Amino acid sequence: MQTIDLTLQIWRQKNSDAPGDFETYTLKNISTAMSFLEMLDLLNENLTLQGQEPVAFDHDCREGICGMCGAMVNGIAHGPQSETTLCQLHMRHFNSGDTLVIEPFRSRAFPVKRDLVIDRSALDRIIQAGGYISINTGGAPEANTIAIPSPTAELAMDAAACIGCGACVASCPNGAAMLFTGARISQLSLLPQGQPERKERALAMVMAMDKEGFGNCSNERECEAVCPKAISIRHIARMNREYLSASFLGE
Amino acid sequence: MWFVRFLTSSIGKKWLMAVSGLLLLLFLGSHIAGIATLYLGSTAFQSYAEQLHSHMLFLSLFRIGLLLLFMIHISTGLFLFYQNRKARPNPYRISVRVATHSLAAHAHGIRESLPLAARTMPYTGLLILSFIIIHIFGFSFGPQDVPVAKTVVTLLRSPAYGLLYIFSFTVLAMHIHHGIWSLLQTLGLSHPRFTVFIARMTTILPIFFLIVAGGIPLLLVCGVDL
Ligand code: HEM
Ligand code: SF4
Ligand code: FES
Repeated sequence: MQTIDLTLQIWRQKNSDAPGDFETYTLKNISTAMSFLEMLDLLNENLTLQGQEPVAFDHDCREGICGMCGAMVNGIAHGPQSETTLCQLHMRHFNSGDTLVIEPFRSRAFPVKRDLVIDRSALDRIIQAGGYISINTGGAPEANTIAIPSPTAELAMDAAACIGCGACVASCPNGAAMLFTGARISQLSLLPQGQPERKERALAMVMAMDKEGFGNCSNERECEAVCPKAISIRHIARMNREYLSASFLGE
Repeated sequence: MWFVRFLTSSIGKKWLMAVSGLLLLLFLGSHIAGIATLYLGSTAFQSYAEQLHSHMLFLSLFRIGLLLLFMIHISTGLFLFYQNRKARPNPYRISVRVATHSLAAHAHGIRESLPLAARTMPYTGLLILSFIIIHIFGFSFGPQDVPVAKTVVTLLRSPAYGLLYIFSFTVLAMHIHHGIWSLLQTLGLSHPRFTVFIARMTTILPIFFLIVAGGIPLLLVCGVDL
């Protein structure tokens, strides 16, 4: 088994109100087959055995689909591997002797709860404002009653791939949440089921986004570069169109 | 009111930046076309300036509109800059930029704008503002009893003044290099069919501007008689 040794500088913070700081740890014999989170598990085992507090970090599926994990690794959200969540990043991408600086995603709208754990409920509130379809579904309809051209379905699916991890916000120099919100508005505006609430949705979701204190996009493209689902900033352009037409032509 | 709600929203403010930026670009185009007459000689330039000043009402309205555009563009830009800084109160210890181009443009092996230009928009903007102030005081409010063509040629012939102009035009070219792409994206004008065309224009237009506008002080500083 191939192993590496790393120096880790990790942000430690007791709670939202406490001031935080970096702690340095050396971690030896990390299997290169481990994921980044398994590497942190190993560190935490060691810390627990030494009677110290383990590093708190969020995770759930560990297969890149839930959007719970995420941290800045040497200044890059979800680490240096593109289109990869932190849980799917493997230690073979690092070299023995590397120093990794691990920080939580930072944004005014994402308060740090503890160590690397942040409160991303601001994104949930944007969804709650309109990122859904309200239809009384009744009985299951016949398959294919609503025809959707395959390219449209693909485009909507590309947007729907967003897992809500918040890396776009974390990496945006302006702390903007426009890739996330753009993806959610786009997804539903492309599909027939999204049409009835299309205008209200664009207005409500943008208003909710602004209320959370995110910054404003200046088209620097950092978000899409770190997005683990490679969501295109074309969806931001679509949101801009949707919002304009909803503002000028909505009820 | 819906219009106020639109303009005060994040996207509305971006639209303000984009529309005022676009109109400023159109002004820049017309201004460049005007000063390019200097290449035909001082007489041609002087008659352009006199033509312009013979329509005083039109010119005054134009100037008021232009001032308004600048005020909207600059105040919105600075407000956005302030809001964006507030959006991340605790900076990262290490902050790395990874984007070199949008994914869509990358597929064509091109990019819309240099990340450096994107990052420095507020700063290049403020440099342009200081330039515009110097520019207006030198020329518009310059000596009234001398033909303006003479004022221009005399001032730009001095190396300090000429180099300041060339530097400022380079900064402006950077600003509009990102600005052109940014405004189209903000206006929602993004379609796979135009990705390559737009990415070419963001480079070609600023360079064209730089050659035409920068050529004047360059020739004068080098001692060519215009
Ligand atoms: C006079 C001083 C100026 C200042 C202080 C200024 C400031 C700014 C700032 C801060 C931005 C970035 C906005 C953001 O990050 O979202 C910007 C964008 C832009 N500027 Fe300027 N600017 C100035 C002059 C000009 C001029 C003379 C032009 C045109 C010839 C221009 C065209 C643009 C365009 C097209 C954009 C892109 C708008 C967008 O983001 O959609 N600016 N400006
Ligand atoms: S758009 Fe991408 S980076 Fe942003 S929350 Fe969704 S998956 Fe994460
Ligand atoms: S833990 Fe679910 S995406 Fe990483």
